[in-house]
Amino acid sequence: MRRRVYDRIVQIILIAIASMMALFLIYLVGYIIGSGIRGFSFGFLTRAPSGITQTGGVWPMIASSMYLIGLTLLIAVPLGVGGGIYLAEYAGQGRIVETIRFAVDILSSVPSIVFGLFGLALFVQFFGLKYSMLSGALTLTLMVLPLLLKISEESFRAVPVTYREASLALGATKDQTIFRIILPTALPAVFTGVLLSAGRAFGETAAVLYTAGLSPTTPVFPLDGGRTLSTHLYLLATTGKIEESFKVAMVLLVVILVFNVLSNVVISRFRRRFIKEAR
Amino acid sequence: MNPKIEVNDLNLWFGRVHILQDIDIIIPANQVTAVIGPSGSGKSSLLRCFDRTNELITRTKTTGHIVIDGRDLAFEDPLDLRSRVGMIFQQPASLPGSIYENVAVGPRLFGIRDRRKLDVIVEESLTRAALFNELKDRLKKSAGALSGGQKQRMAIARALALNPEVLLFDEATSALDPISTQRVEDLIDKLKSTTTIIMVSHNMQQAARVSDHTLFMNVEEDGAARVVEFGPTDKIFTNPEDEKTERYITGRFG
Repeated sequence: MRRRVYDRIVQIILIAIASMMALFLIYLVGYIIGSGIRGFSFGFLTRAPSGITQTGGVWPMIASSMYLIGLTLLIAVPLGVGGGIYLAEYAGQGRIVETIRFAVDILSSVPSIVFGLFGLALFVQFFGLKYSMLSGALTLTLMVLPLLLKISEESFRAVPVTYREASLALGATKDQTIFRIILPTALPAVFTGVLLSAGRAFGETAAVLYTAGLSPTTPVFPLDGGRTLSTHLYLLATTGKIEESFKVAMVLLVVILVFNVLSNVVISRFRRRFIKEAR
Repeated sequence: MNPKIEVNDLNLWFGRVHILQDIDIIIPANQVTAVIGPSGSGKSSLLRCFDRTNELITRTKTTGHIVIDGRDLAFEDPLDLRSRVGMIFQQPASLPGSIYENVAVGPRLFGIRDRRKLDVIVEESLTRAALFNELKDRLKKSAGALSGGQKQRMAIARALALNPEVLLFDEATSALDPISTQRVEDLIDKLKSTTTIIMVSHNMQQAARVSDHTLFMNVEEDGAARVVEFGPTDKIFTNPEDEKTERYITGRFG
């Protein structure tokens, strides 16, 4: 009897903790949307900010954020997926691979402001890329690379060994097996890694602040500077424009929620397919 | 009885471990040879010698010869060899993509791109695997939705698409239900008119039913697996020469 009471109590405590988390999230989202929606119009998304106060619109920031993500993914995806293929399929075991893994783990725990500073020194100043989309994208690439690398490697390892056997037994070469059989199978999982990276890059402030610049203009060329949504929010909030920053926060939050929902959908599709395969 | 594969004095090591010892057998053409023996008696390793896939998994050393139609395997291009020697596994892999894609994998690997050619190959292979009529309306549908038995026959069709001379079945029915097993057995019986078949089986009734010749392998305390007895299936199952064979097939050891 006592054990059952104890069991019940633990259960209640755990449910309470879980619901607190959920409630907090709902409150947070509700608060930000509630504060941001006041005076919000769709013109806010399509207008440029005006005046010394730089309020009234975020179009250049949306453009900068998208530009930066696009450019980052363009650089980071080939590197991350390529590296993942290498680690999962070619590297085997050894000191070099251990060193790579160790470096990747370290890289993933470096604070983003440090990446920002590093990007400022290396890309902005040393390579003379100025405050630009390219500097920002290169810095963000360094930041999301560990995540991308890890997820790709794991996606490749998750492909059932029977696929490999079947392909090799047909006389496929290793490359054919990897690129025709394993890569297509792992692609949905790799895609979730790409979405997660995009989400991280989108929300990143510190690494971008020193590298992509603060110019509130719409970037056209990779060497143009720009101001992302998150750095815009940072500037607004630090200069006391709280109402405006909540609007920006709302835009940011909605986009990130969409990213997360999208990657969850892909993950669950992927899982379902694998469960079907296993039967 | 025409010999298809001659195995002369074959020894196989994985690293330093002696796996197969002094294997000396002749596999007859267009017949079914069953390989039986307790777990760990080197049956799958022997099978993998015939398409040289052992060397993909681990560091191997081989002495002796395996000769198919007068050609020594050691001097053949392994990729080419694997297209002529098909392998069917215990767990059929349904690769991503449609049933059509699954069957067309092999020919595509070897550079056949022409759609009409592929159409013909896919239809022929599925027909030979007794699967075409069942699936002809959904060739473009995902292969993941097929039943286990269908997947296995699709795997056979995939191997057949390369028109192999030899088919290796590595416990190909041990994950299937009795009806699917029956179908695969019927298929094996049909396929032997065009191919030479070697099948590893843990099911004594199956080996007795399906095969023409039976190879009984066993592993002694000292390590490597050897051939205990090899002969016509009738004889092995009714009047074996070796006492160990008799004990194994009657289920008293292994």
